Amino acid sequence: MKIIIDSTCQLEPERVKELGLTIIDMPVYMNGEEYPQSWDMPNWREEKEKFISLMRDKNNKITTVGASEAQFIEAFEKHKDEEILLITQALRNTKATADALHAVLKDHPEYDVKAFDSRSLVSGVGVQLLAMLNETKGKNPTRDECYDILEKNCENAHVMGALYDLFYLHRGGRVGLAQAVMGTAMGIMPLLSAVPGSGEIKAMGKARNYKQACARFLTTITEQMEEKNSKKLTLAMSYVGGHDKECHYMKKLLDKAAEENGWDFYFELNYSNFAHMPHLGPDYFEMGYVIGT
Amino acid sequence: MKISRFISALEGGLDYFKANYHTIDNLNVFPVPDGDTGVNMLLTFQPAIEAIHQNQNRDYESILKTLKDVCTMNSRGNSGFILSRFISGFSDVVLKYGDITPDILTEAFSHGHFVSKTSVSTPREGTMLSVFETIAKTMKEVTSETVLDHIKLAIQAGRDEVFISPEKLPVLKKAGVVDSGALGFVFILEGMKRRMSGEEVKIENESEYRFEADEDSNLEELMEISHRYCTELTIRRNGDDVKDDLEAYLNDIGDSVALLVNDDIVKLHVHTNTPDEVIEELSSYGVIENKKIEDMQKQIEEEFARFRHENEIGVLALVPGEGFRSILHDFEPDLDVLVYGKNLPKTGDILNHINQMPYEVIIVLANDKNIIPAVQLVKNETTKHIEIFPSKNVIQGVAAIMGFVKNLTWEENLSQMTSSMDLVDSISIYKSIKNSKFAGIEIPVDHYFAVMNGNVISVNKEFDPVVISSVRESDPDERMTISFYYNDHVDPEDLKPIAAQLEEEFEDIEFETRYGGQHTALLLIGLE
Repeated sequence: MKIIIDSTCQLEPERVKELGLTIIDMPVYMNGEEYPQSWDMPNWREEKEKFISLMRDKNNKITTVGASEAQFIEAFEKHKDEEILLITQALRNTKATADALHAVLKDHPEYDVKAFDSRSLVSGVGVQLLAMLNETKGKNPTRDECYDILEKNCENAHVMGALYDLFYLHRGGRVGLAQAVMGTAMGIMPLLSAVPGSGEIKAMGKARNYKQACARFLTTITEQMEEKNSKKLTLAMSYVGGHDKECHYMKKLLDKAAEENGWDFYFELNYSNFAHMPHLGPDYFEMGYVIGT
Repeated sequence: MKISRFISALEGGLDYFKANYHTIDNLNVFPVPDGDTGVNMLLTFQPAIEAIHQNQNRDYESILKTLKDVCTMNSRGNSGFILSRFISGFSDVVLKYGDITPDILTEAFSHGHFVSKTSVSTPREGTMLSVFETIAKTMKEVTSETVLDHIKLAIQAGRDEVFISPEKLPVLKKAGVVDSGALGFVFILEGMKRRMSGEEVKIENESEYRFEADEDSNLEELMEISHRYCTELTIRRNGDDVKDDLEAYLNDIGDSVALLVNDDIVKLHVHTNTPDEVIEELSSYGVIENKKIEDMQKQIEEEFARFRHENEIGVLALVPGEGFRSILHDFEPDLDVLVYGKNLPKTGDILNHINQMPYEVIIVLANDKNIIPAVQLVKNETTKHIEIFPSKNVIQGVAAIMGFVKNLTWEENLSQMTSSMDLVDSISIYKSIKNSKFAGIEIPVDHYFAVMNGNVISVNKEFDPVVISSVRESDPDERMTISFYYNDHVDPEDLKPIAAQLEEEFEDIEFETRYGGQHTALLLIGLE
């Protein structure tokens, strides 16, 4: 079985190679031209830093589009003799990708593809994969078994994150969302979450600083763990340049909470992929997590 | 029509679109207002025309195959996808005949419409799909002498449809624009026509496609649709002839009809209130291979959920000083604030304020436990739904407001506001006016003292040492922002050296100083 996942999964190249995944790169455009980027480009860290610098110039219009039919066909063609398990970000958030995938699956029955809509986004996509791989470690699961685990976990897959600048969310078309968390105070950080099982993005208020944001996130996770009566937490965080300190602080809080509450806690940290930056901006950190398995 | 003329027309379509695609970007509000419809259509269409330009074979089969395949492979975004699917269906018909005549053009538009409409998961009226449909329908109704005349007819029908797109798609009406993708397709046709007629490319005037935004449009009314269920069927034919009046029947019981009939299958897309009736009617022609029924009303309601939730919940914060009005507004501009001074607010004042607020559900931040009984009385006196948020002081109120999101439910907001409030501590600095004892601590007259969580944590004859030592006592390593809110008896200049000293001592903490205007405490310190 081959797992194909789109580049919204927030996993770094080394991790992707280690897991043997095939990635579909979500395209990014700058000022109407396709921006040259890919998940495994050489010097990817420096390339991302360069992209972030360009983003800080708000005159540069940076947008994304969904994956095209051609990209799906290219990825499927590479593994045409294998069983394919395709994992996508929430298709409700990317109609173009959904329609392109639907068309390819309809027009190309020669590819043996089982598609899983993660109904999540950012690290919420990758963490569902990680939770499934952790659960099947040392076993030899069939594709259907993997799919069933993904489906089972999906309703318990959450996403939360903090932005430092609402401009990009607003420009990317999420006007209502941006307005919901708008304030004029300096240094205010909007906090966002995604509804499990749908990927709908919701505002969860604001924070004055990252420690406050992390404390809010921890409170939310603890309440959800208690609500589900669960002791197992699989969590993946991603950041963009300079904001890894927020993730390390969050991990410190989580480690402490895990020790106090006896959680079986798995953590992973990755640099964010290109595909999210046009929407979230050059400054953010976010996490996806699965409660229980 | 000669293939060279068709190629030239396509190139004209591209040139016209390239000259005007920024207008399309600027008008883009649906499905996501991210201003890239023009770019996506251009990046879908342009590579195909460039590939045709390089293609040495000048025959319909080769050119149409290139057009179809390259568009499909390069389709970008929602608008690019719909355009590429239309071109795919269009090309199949032209490939079948190896020529373009007015009649073939009619069939090609009809099939292009069908393929595009049945390829998208949730086809919506008022978009490029409606332009395809209207053009296909008009072409069927009108006979033209030449292909050019037929394209002119298509442009007129397409433009008419573009201008009624806001009536079909409420977000357009609210934004005061026509549908960008629909207009983009008309621009391509316009360019084709101009090239065929020898006319120059014209830069379109964007304002012609904008009109006054209908901010007050009744969303409930706009959300109403005449035919609720999007129904798609594929039937493997059993040999019975398809009735001539089938399409008329379908138009009678629904709209947005796309019907494809060939020797083997019948494919149907229709919006109707009676999908079961349609299935029964069509099942007489053979075995149903695929069936899809979707509730469009539900989809539309979901799409507009955020509009309906807007302004649903209000927040009234009762604050002890004028300065807190602007402090709170910095965090939540739509907040209502009632400022009181030396005396706590009267029940009547709170009731009057609440009754004037344009919300049916109001969360009241009491910000003082002594005010809660008055708010409780108000709750009994008004028909509005009042939730009392138990913030004990204004520092907690400022923190709580960070958890408020105006389009969430009051239950969600109370939960989030509580989580936010729990992340802040506060210190109050007072000056004693007589010898007294507070929480077991002796406080001489004219001495300053700091209170945190009901305990006196510092006493001194001087103001500065009380402030500095109380901050040191407050577990500052866990803080990132410390705010000083002073009243009329404190000179903000006197706070500068205190803040400077603390900044030097705690370099990871940001200190801010703002006027609060509270009556009792000289200084309120928020520890976040």
